[in-house]
Amino acid sequence: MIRPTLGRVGIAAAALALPLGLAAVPAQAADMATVSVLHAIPEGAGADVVDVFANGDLLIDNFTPGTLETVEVPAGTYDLAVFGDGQTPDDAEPVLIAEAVEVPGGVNATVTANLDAEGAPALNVFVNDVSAMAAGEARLIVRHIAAAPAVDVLAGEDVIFADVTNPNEGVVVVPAGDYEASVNLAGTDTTVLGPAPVMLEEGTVTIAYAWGSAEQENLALATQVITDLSTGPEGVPAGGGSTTQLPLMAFGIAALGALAIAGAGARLAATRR
Amino acid sequence: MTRPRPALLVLGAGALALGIGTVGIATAGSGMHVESVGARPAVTATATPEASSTVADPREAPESASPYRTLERVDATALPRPDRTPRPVEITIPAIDVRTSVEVVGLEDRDQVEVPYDVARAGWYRYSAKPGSGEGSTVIVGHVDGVDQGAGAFYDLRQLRPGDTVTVTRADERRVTYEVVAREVFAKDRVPLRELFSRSGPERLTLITCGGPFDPASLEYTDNVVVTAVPVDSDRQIEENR
Repeated sequence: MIRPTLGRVGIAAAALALPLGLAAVPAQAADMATVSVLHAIPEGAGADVVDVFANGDLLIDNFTPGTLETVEVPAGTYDLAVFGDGQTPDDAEPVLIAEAVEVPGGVNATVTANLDAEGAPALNVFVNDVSAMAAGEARLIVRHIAAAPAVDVLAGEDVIFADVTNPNEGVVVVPAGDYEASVNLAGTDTTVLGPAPVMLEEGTVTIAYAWGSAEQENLALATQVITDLSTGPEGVPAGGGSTTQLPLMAFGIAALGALAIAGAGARLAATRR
Repeated sequence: MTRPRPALLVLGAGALALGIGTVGIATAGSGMHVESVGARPAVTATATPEASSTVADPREAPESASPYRTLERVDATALPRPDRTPRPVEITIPAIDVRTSVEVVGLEDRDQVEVPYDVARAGWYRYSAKPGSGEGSTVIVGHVDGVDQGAGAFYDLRQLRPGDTVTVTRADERRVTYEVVAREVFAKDRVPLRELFSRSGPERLTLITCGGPFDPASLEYTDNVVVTAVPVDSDRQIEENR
């Protein structure tokens, strides 16, 4: 039975709770949290179809490898348990558990059921950084949840995260756009995943998970996308003023004309005298 | 990245606005507007889709009140691939005699949207939705006028009315026709930029230019004119594409 360390979620979530609480979200959202669960235990490892329970209530039914389900839950403390398909807390022992997972209101988190570095099933809890981004930006998060050694993550030729180990992550904000992503064994040119074209959309958090097992030769990428986090641009300066200056100029010309006429009149008057 | 969030500032400003300086036509509850005709579609649905589509048959109800609500289940093995949807290349607005090419624009200093230097042309904001993508706001901007080029492509945007049509042609020659549903004028510090540029919510076209008085001190207009249009129904789209 695996009991992952969960202190991380409480601390990181507390740091996130304040800005999220201030965000322009519906009032009830402060009491709710968004939790995604990723089934990242490869087929054939005894968890091909599972049910996930939270505090004894069914959270996710008939969950299969490579799928991600997102649920909204009340803020609180949760005991999570993964059971074989059709089994329940009343009649069976769980395959995996994570006890006393703190889920503060407004938080966005992902629980992964995956293999640890040695290939044993594990549950991990990650808090997702869903803070707003400036216009034109995208956030990339890479998580190592595979039975595999340390890896480097590359965009094109550039190493963006070096020496990432299970169950850790790297977070970076980059210009939105298309990238060629690959995963190498740390410090080597040996590519174990990719290269694959990936779009990092503006205002979007793209979370890439390296999952599976190097030994079983089923390493793969899974992604979770959280959209609509751009602040938008700061303004649209779409005028130069030439059309409003026209009336001013017209007024000016008219005034000059009036002066000229007045002047001419004065001259006329003078000549008449 | 600790940038201020304009969406929050805008909301705050909206609450404080109290309709100062509003001129006529404003609709009820539009404290942010200088002027407003029609209504934009809501970006974030307040009702939950699950709740609205629930069949009220108690026998079908799941084991009473689960405290958990499923938002979605997806196949996580599909990577987000580059979007090959063709971009817009031309915009036609018959009601105000506009037919002009559309270039791609991005951001310039201080995250201001770049507006085509040639005031006769319009610009599609490259981070906004593409026409026909089925979701979110397609933003096309154009000058009301230039510093020395006279009236711009969107000079008459403020004349558009609900029901007027706008057609955007994509690089693949597909035409997407929209019907205007709202025309709004916002003071520049109250423009709900986050909503107008959101790639979430119903598919819509957002046209933006400048308006209001020209401030000779800042060399800028004080307002933005925003026209929102939604795609006409699919039968008509097919007809338009014949």
